[in-house]
Amino acid sequence: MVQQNRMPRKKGFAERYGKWLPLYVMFIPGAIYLFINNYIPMAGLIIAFKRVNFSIGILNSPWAGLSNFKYLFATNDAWLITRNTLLYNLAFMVCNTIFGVLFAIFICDSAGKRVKKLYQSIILFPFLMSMVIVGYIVFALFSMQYGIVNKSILPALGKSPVYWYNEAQHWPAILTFVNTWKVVGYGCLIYISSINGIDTELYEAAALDGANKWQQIRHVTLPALVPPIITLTLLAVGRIFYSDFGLFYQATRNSGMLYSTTNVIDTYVYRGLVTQGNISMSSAAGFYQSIVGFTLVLSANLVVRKVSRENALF
Amino acid sequence: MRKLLSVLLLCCLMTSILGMPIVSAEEPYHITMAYVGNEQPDMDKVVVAINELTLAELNMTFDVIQLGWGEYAQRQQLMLTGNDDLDIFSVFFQHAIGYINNGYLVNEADYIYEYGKGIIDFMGEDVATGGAVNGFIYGTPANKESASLSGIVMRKDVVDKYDIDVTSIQTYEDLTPVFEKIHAGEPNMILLAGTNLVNQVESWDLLFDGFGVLSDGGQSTTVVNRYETDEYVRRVSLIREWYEAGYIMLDAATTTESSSNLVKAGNTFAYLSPIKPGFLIQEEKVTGYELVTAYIENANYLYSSSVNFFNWAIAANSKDPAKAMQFLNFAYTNSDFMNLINWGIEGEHYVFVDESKTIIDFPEGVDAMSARYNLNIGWQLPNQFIAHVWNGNPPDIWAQYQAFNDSATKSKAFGFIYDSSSVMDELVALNNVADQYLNALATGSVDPVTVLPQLNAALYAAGLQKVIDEKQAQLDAWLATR
Repeated sequence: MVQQNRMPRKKGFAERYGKWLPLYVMFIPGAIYLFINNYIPMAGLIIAFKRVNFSIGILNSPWAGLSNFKYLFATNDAWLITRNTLLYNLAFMVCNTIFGVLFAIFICDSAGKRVKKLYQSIILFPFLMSMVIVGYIVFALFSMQYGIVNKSILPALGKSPVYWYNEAQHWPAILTFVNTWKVVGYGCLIYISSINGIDTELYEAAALDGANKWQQIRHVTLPALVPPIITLTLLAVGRIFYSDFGLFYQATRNSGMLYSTTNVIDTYVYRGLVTQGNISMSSAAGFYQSIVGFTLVLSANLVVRKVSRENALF
Repeated sequence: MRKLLSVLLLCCLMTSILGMPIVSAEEPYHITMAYVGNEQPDMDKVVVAINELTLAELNMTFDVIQLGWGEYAQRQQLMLTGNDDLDIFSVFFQHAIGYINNGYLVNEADYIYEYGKGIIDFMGEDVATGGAVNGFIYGTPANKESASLSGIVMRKDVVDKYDIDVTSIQTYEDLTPVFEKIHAGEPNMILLAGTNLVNQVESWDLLFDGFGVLSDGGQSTTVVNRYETDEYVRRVSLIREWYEAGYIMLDAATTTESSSNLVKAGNTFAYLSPIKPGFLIQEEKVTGYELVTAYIENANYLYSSSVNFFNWAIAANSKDPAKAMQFLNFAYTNSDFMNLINWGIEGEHYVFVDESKTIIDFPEGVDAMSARYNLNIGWQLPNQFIAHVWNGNPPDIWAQYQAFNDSATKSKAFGFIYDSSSVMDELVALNNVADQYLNALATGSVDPVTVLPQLNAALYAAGLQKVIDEKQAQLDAWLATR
């Protein structure tokens, strides 16, 4: 990347960009899509600062200053939901990376192309499932009346049933497990493609030098996986103030007694505003989440650039 | 090539100009109505029939938008913010304040006295104009049974088997020995289903959101915290005993299955529900069991929120609110329209079963499952009291409903709707607190001795006192004008 920028200075515009023209043409549909879907709606951000009245239109509605944001920080819950959102996302990032890389290495080392494909599909399958279905799978396991865990597993171990949906302390572990099970396949696919891109001669050379399997993974595979790991982590950092609404709402069956460990920003906003239908206040929440996410991505990228320049996103 | 193109273009232009509708003064006004109900396969057919009627009677054409139960709130928002074609639609009472403040609605006060005389004549001015906040009439109530007499609905086979004396059941406490007796014989049966074991029998005027209520069915005018009233403590403590004794499903707090479906599944004995004339027929059809009912607490009260449960509002999108009001007036007074939209076309979707042509039923060979049109949301539609009666109900059911409503004790705050816009921030926090604790408490899933103080502390931390004070101030001001 760095080398490409060092082109001779005194070249005409057409000469400089002409040879990239096909690439730019290929870029156009994506750019249009981004513009329509991601840039134009940004004008709607002003809704967060207005007291919207649709009979006179958004632009004519009176300004509300920062009053739409107040409710996000007004109660003790503000600390709780922020903490939950951040900690869960951190745990998810760590688990998804570790297990993603682990599974990618296992799958790539398993013999046979067909088996590889099969494992890949199996591990990706939960990613394609709707959260509503996942919620029911979790319920089938943990239902207090009829669940597999309470009816079969715990009695077999000689333990008494647990009131899963009434006791909050179990859920950080359950949700982290469910999330990892569900999304690990996606990161795994990216890592697999990176591993497939590694020149096999590197492994042969390492083997000739007497490196065992573990040393090959440690010194050849892992270094090659650093760039995708950084990219995926940076993307996750940008969404650290968002949470998978389905996971925290459906998988917990919206059980109130679990809120101390399951209430996150998205579910809080949903529960608070579902009956009011105040779009200014919900836009304010979205605005807050994106601003924090944006700042975090910039600072994380800055850190990465300081540490290893070629791995930074920009 | 270029010539061909330009000819083509010209053709396109011509056809689009010619295809444009010719607007003239006699053009019938097009009414769009949105309701919440299940999809009907023969909807188009019925709409054609309704159009014949409305064209002849009002010089209006008519179209409906059917919104599903799971999505209606979102879709209403989308239609209202997207400025879609929409004239009249039904507003759930908890959405009303938000809709008014967002400018989604037309103030019917400007039109109802001129174009809505039929509605006022039928329902009385009190009720017809009762859906109002600070003088803004957001909608006219659907005419239905609004009083809330509630009780327990039980499977008759179990009641008979264990020789339960139904007349002995009058209070919550009376249920304990009943459950005890059945539990001894059927240890695995779930005896009481539902997530709403406290609220189904409503002895407070909730003043719309339950944060600050009036006790004794609204016979007191002091706004209090419902969750500190003796009645609430008494009920949740009792329900907790039932939960621990195994009468209530362990997952009750999070179940999304309706109580009648749980009874239908065969392992559930009873549930609590509002009980109105004709209720048993409806529930026996759903559950597939013969049922018996007993009123609990015998509290028959009438609240603003039950009368104004779903109100017919005119959307700000409406191109001509006066015409929309005229149409509403027609919908409240024309029985042909009500029959068409609720039951479909005579002879095809329903037939008369009596001589005097008031009682109807499915035609031969059609049932609820195979029906092509059977909307059956009379309680939400403008005025079911002028429509045919479904078979199995008493022929004078509408008179019974009316008597039922008239017999209820009106809350002192009947007609009062409070404006929550000044306590929006508090309500977001309070809704979260309510979601957190209420289901768990109301199903006995947690111990009220420890959790109830937590709930009240959280409510006050979320600003309950401010909401109570605001309600009290508005209520006092409203009472002073009476």
